[in-house]
Amino acid sequence: MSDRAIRSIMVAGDGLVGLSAALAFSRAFPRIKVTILAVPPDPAALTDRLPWTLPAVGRFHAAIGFDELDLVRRGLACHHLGTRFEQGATSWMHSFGEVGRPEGAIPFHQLWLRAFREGRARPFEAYSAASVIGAAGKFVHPSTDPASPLSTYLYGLRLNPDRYRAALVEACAPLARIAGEIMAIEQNADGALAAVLLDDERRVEADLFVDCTGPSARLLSVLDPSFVSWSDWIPSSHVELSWGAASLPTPVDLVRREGEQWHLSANVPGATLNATVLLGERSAIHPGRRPAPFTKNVLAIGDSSVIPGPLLGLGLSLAHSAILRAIDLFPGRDTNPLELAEYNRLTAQEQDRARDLLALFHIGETTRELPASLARTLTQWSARGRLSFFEEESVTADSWAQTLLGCNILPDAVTPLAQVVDSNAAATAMNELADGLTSLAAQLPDYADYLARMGAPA
Amino acid sequence: MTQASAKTRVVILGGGTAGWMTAAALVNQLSSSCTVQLIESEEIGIVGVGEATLPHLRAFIAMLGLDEAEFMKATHATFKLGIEFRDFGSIGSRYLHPFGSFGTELGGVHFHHYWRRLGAPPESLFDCSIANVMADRSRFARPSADSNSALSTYNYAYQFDATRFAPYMRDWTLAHGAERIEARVTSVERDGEGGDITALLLDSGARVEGDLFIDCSGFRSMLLGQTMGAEWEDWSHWLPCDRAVAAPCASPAGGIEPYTTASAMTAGWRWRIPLRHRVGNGYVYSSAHLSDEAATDALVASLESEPLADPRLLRFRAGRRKQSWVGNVVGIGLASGFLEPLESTSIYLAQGAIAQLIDLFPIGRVTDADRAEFNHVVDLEYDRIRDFLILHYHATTRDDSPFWDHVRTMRVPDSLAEKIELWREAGRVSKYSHGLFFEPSWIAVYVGQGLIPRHWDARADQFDAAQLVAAMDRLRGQISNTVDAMPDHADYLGQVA
Repeated sequence: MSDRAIRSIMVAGDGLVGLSAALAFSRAFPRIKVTILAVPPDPAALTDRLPWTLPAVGRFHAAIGFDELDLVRRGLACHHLGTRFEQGATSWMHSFGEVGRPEGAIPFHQLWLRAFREGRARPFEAYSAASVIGAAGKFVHPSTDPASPLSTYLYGLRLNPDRYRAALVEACAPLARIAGEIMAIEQNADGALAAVLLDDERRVEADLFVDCTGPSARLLSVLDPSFVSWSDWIPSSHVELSWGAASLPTPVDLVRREGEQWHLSANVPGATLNATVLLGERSAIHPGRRPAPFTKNVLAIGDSSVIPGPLLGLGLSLAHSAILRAIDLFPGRDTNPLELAEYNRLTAQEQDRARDLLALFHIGETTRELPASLARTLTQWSARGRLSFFEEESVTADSWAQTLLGCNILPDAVTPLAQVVDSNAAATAMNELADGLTSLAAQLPDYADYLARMGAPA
Repeated sequence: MTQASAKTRVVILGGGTAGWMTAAALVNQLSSSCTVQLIESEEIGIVGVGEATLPHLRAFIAMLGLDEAEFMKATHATFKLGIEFRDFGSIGSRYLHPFGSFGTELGGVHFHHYWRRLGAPPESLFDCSIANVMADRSRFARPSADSNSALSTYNYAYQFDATRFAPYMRDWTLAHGAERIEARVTSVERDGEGGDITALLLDSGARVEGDLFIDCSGFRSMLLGQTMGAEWEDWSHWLPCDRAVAAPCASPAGGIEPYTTASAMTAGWRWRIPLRHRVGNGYVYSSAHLSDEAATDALVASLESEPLADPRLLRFRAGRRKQSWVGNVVGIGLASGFLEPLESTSIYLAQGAIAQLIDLFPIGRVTDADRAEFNHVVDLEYDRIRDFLILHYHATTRDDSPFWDHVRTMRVPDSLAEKIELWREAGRVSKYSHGLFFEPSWIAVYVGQGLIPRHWDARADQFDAAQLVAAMDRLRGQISNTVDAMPDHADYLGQVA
């Protein structure tokens, strides 16, 4: 080990985010002493309480040695193909994986748009395997054969937060664990964190402090209290979570908007989550991000870095991504500002695109000027259905297209490139694709049966 | 409105590489949306120094559905696996920037961190790039599409006769529906209100109307620069080379190298591009540091065989137009900007701009949003390549001439200074995924020019050093055996084209 290496990490916070970070760092760097400081949970730390992960969860689980089959059999996780959004008479799906098939350089949504203008397109979701299979209440693992339509989708996992947390605690057992309340923070002359002083007068030192304390960012905010609010575009909210008895599992969640309320319902193993999101001023959840989540020797992850709000359940996936990025860009003990700047640059790019996607759900409700990146996306989408490229784009093109169309934002014109493909031939191929997906879904097992076959608890 | 005029009328000025590539792509991709006319004059020569290309050109050839063998035959092309740099970091040093990666990832950590941790010499890193070893031994075989195969870790481009490439594109394009007009433009007619170009008046007396004008007139930038007044952003303080003298010579007996060579000289650098029938040579230099006569003498003295033509002088300036799309005029190629051919980027820049033009092709009227998006993407490409080129000059210990003293000590753009420092400190390559030159390219130039990082990824410490050494030796052995089993480049060429 070089003499510049970080020797000790203290992770403050033992919710899903803190435990995930502690476990991932200890796996990546076995020689580093990782200590978990179990500070009392912050009720506003929504990311520690919501069950959702995006398909990228597979990569994170591989990094911490979690096996999906094991998680399913132990009743910790079940699969997630997408979410149905309903508002008034409109209904649309946000699902994982591809929608339709592109023709060379022409994205499918362009062909769909042309067919739609010609009055011969089915709803966009009819061309997505995840949507069709999910809507039918079916599930199988995607195929690895690229020729199969079953290879075109992905899935996330929905977690039972209590059980999943218990599994993380178990996996973190070899790590040092200190329970206590943070009373004071000691800084070095250069501003870096020297130690955390606890209520029992203990003093905990570390080379690197990972702040997973929730929105208040109790460590990071000492070094840098600044916060970039997104409330101009994503309203603040009050979130009530209610956990009920398990119901028949489906791979799709339902989100319904009624006036100033969102109602979310989702299956997790052993329970059903019903959440009510009240939009408005007297709120606990204020979306936004910290401009420099990695400052000196403090790295904020989870709600202490970014608060995306409850919709689409992006919090835990953004935390996973941040943890893996921190491991990839792990600095030395000197925490060279250039290395941290690279981390902060990439993290901000990723988080801002998540913000842009979430802002779509409230577009038209704000008179504020949109963020430049979202304005660019909307301008290019509206003009010709183009999805502009962004570095560290955290949202797939298919996600953008589903959400833009779902929010009823239609391009004014189809790209001239689409004319290369004959309109009748394209329409026929689209019909065949949608029919094929429907009949394929009919042959697949019900999700409950599939779970039982995997050995999930009843 | 007649059926024909419902289409966007595209008028391309200039029939060099950029002009004919643009015409070919438009005819191929947007024939139902536009008509294409190209005005060129045989009296005006083409620059045609873009003899060395990047692997991206393969996608262009494939898009047009061209037969590779036929294309290579027509342009006297050879395969290219990278660029060899001599005397850049210091006199006597050499390395090859390969079109491929170094080694294999282990535990999610990129190979060069293990190499650095072992404190091994630069050669042992380069020997873990299959493209580098192929180039060293003048071997060639096609890469594999199977991502599990070591043969999938490299790519290739072409070295060809640029004076044959443009005519080849022209013949293809004319057969596929574009119209060629042989004439010189005498004046430009503009719309009084918006200032858009409405027509070009020709020396033949003809008047060519259009909706969209593509300026491929080369350095003159007759429409974009002269007519629309697109401002020039000068980069010559970072890239002072502003002249080139070029002369072909006969191919030496024996093999044909599957790579281009760039040799640093006292006031710039010299290219050597081996083609089927000859070798292309040129000296790119700074006129502030060297006279044209001295440059010509130095080039001629360096030739390995008799020159096949008189040395030809080219003048240019590094930089780009602040906007490449103004009004209804889009600059593509040298009319939009110029970066010296040190990393063979000229044709790539044209190709990238063409791809954006197609994606942003006007629907009805040109909008501000189209222009803004196009200019945004084109600027990004230029800025990134600029930084990469400056690195070749700045990462040096050479102090043998005023030219090298200048580039070694100059203040580089902040964007590059930060990249270099991140590498020197931590062995990390600043990440981006849009544009040109990703991690392996930066690593090649950094290490090849003597910038060795102080530190490495902490995860690389977890493996036993002796095991790592053994694993690297094994990898080198496998690469060496794989390359030895490949055909000689010249023999392979003989079979394909």
